[in-house]
Amino acid sequence: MSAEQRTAPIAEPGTLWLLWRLIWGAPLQFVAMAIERVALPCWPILAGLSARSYLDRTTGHSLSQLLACLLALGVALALRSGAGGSATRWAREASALLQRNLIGRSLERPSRQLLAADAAAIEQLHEDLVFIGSLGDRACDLVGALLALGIALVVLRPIDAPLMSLLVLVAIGAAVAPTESLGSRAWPRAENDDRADSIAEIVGARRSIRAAVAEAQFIARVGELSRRRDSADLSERRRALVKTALCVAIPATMLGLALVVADTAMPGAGRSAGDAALLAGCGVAMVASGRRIGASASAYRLARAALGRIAHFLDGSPLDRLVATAPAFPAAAPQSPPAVGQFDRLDIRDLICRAPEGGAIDAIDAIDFSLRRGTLTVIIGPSGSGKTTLLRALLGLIELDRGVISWSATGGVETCGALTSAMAGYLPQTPRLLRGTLRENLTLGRPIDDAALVQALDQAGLGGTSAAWLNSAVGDERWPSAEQTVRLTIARCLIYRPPLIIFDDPAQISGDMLARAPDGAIDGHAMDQIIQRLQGGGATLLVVSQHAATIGRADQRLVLHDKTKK
Amino acid sequence: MLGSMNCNCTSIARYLQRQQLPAALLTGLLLAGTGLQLAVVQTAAAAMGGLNHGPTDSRAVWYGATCVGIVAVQRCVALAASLLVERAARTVTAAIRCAIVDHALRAAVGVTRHRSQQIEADLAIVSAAIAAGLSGGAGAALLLVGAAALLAAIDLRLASGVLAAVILGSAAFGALWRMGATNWATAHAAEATRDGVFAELLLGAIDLRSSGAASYGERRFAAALGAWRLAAHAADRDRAIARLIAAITAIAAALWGAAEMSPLASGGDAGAERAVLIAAAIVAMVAPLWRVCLGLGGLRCAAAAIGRLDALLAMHPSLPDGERALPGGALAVLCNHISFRPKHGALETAAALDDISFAIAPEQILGVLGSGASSAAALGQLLLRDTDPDSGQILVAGHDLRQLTGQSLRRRVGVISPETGVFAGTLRENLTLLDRMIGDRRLYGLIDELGLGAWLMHAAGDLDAIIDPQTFPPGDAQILAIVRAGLRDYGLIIVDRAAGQLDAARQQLFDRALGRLLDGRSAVILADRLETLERADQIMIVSDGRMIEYGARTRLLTCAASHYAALRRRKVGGIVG
Repeated sequence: MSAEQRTAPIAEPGTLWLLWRLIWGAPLQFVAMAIERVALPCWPILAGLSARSYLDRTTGHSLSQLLACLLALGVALALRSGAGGSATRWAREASALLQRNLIGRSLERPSRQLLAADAAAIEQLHEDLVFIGSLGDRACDLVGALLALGIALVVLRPIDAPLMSLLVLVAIGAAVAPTESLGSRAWPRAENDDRADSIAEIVGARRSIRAAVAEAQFIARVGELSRRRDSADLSERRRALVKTALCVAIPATMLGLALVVADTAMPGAGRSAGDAALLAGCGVAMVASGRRIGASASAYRLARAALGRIAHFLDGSPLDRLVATAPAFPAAAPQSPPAVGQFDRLDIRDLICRAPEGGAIDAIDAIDFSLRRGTLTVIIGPSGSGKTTLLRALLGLIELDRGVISWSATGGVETCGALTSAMAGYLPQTPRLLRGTLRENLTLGRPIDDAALVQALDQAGLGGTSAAWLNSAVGDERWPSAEQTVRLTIARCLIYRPPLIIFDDPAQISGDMLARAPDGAIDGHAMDQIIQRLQGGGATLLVVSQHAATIGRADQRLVLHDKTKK
Repeated sequence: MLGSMNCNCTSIARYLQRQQLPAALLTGLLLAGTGLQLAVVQTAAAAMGGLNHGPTDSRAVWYGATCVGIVAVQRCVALAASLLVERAARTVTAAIRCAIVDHALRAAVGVTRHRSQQIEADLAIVSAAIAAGLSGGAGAALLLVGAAALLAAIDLRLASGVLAAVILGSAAFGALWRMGATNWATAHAAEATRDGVFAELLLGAIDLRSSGAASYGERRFAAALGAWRLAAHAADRDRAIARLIAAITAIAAALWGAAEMSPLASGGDAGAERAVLIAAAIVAMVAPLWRVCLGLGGLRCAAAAIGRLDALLAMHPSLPDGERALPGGALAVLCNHISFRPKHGALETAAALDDISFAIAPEQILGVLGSGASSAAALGQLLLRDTDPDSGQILVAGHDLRQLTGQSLRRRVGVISPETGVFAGTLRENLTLLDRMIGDRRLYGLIDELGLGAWLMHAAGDLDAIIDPQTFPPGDAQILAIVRAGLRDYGLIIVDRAAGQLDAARQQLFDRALGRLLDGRSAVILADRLETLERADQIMIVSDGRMIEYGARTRLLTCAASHYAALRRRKVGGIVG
């Protein structure tokens, strides 16, 4: 998905409001940085003022003014070095705050976009968060530039109005010139991605291009490809340079010449050498401010796009919570499984879940079914018929538009919005493990003894595992494989012996082909063996499968056609 | 750290050395730029001297005009130099990119998409560092030397001041570099961990939530956040010192300038000129040091990036190469009692292949059916020598795979798999793998021979159509692999999971093209559909790593006890269990 596709329109005040909330979080830094940002662009004005007082000798204390100017410059630079640190710290904390809130929100209720997200989408999200974190810094920049521009205008006004308006024009030129592309030497992200893809494709597809007969030649062509993109990039930058030259360099040179000519041709104009020096100083300050204002404007545009992407990621929900500085996380919840009584049957009535625009999930419509204890129910249907959506809706990962889920146990019938983790264990379509030890991945912070873990691993077909292996770290290059990931996830959902076990079909893991382990995902046969074993143990199962043997052994088949159950 | 940086720089210099002409041009431009900058200072000083006489002095006007003109020329020279430097930086990164691809092809360095993005980010950092180092660093050094020389001619005391600043500055930089290296590295690692945990928790939110462990996720992130904050504070101290040095130099320079200028109060022509020269000296002294102190983080990033790239290029292939080469023509294969157990970290895995033996005569096709994907996949890996068997040996044309050169093996043994990679480029480039020696006639001839003319029109329209890897259907990529293989001189082809990602229409095309491709070649078909095995001469069925059936296909079909025959009779929806 490209960046444009993920961009949703966002209300105009959104960015400004969020910015304000972020600034409110750190008012002191804002003041310190704003002072610094005003001091720095003002130094050419100070230099001009002191040069005038020296050259014209209008006042008796020209030297003291010169010294004051130099010292002010030194202090401004020193202040800049101090405030620079606080700016990075501020940006850092702001993006960490956004990250933390986003995680809290996602763990509470995953958005529909998150359900369909891949690593690239998360990467983009992360970049957007970092960028938004740095917005406060840019806001100070803008404030400083505007103030410097104002001061320059005030200083210049009594001297020369026509030249001042010319200067304003040059400053505007600087603002509209493409400062961003010149300022940052790093390649734009999209370009970078493109190149990364080409390397990944070529190298990741090592198997399929092992054939390249003339390897040296092939490598040379790779270099050519790389250079071809570089030159396209370079011509883009050349255009930017020309634009800058047209907007800033040429008018500025003209202005300089105009100053000199004005001084020669009109000695009687009443302008002294000192005035000329002051004009030059103010010109430098105004052009620099113009460039900063231009940079802030483009940063604002980028921020709006980033915020739009984040809002889209959160299903368009308001972004209030993202900037909330509330206490970190709620206290840890009780960690033992709540008792749910002896499970008897589950009834689903009239379950409807409409597909939102954007197509991250498939719709399901008016599904009715029941399942009894100890049975195997298999969901069958073509891709896009909503098998995964049905399971997610049952587990409360997707909001239902309508429907009743009744859980009958010895304690009575309970009508609930969704099945809790105590009721059902769930194997998602794309299981993920966290970096850490095997034990951490299985327990997820719950108090569970090793014997139970080994038993669950055994049930998932990872027999022969000893307690010592539980300490091994997950996340090496070749361990665990995709198949082992699925088995470990199955073990994780079996640990608490949930009354109902729900398996999505991990055989059809889709998405990034290069990220997939070379040996492929678990196959239908292996899944069937696990299901058979669990069935033998009297478990209640609800599975998505396309495997003939599993379908053949089902007590009940739920066939989803396009959007309707039959 | 400084040492490692030096050694890293030599590896960059290796790539830079290859461009003498741009280097000469760049040196010229930098020298010219420095000269012009010094000329600006002098004309400005002269203009100041003239202005001191009063605004009507024509000398001042001419000096001023010259000054403005020189500034314009100097900006142009600087622009040209920066474009040239960027070009040089890009040539270097292109060379490194080639080296990495070359290395990955030879040495079996696994490069995932994530990793290649890291490589690209590193290359961008290196390129920026080269550009900044050449134009900024070299330019600043030249300016310093020039300013010192210019000042020495006028005033020895001013010149010695600049020189002292240079020595002090480089000493301070060296100390700073060594002092904060560990903190910086720790902070970066902690930040990477934090971001990693962030991505991990978002992607794993479903798993965590359905396990009732949402609070565990939150605590995990809080822990990562805490660790990062601690590390960042330590690194802040390092950065604060750098900024302190920068601030002290700024104030010291301002004070020095003020002290130098105080005798000028009495005025005179020389006074004004002197003031400009002093200002220029201060700028020349402070600017480079300032840049280095504030850009310390960037320099560290660049050093780390170069280190990572070097480490990647220093990786050695896990399987040593042999010395023999394969003969031409179809290849015979002989497998002697091979056993193989895939290694996946700590967890013990079942044997994928257990004492398997078979033989393929030249131009024969062996079809392999495995219960479970791992057996067939492992056989494919072993035949392509992605890895070596635990015991037993594989002989191709009488040579053990371990005795063959990797290049010979890559030239003569090919693979067609559902994971066929396409890259952004034209269809022709994708088919020929950028080999320009393959002409249109040969290409079209082969496509017609394989019966893929209609497919070509449908998939791309034209050989020169640009392919977008993101949207190119995997099924088409699989067919593309057949054409690729047809252009090569393969004696043995491994067909991995032939059904892969094909829909019904493409399946038919694929089957027909595959049949024509395998004509006159030896092949191993690792099948997931019975139909693909129709063309096999021999069939082998592997269950739980053990061979349970092996023989000629026609013979198995007539044998009542054959699993293959039984499966073929049942044909359960085309899925083989």
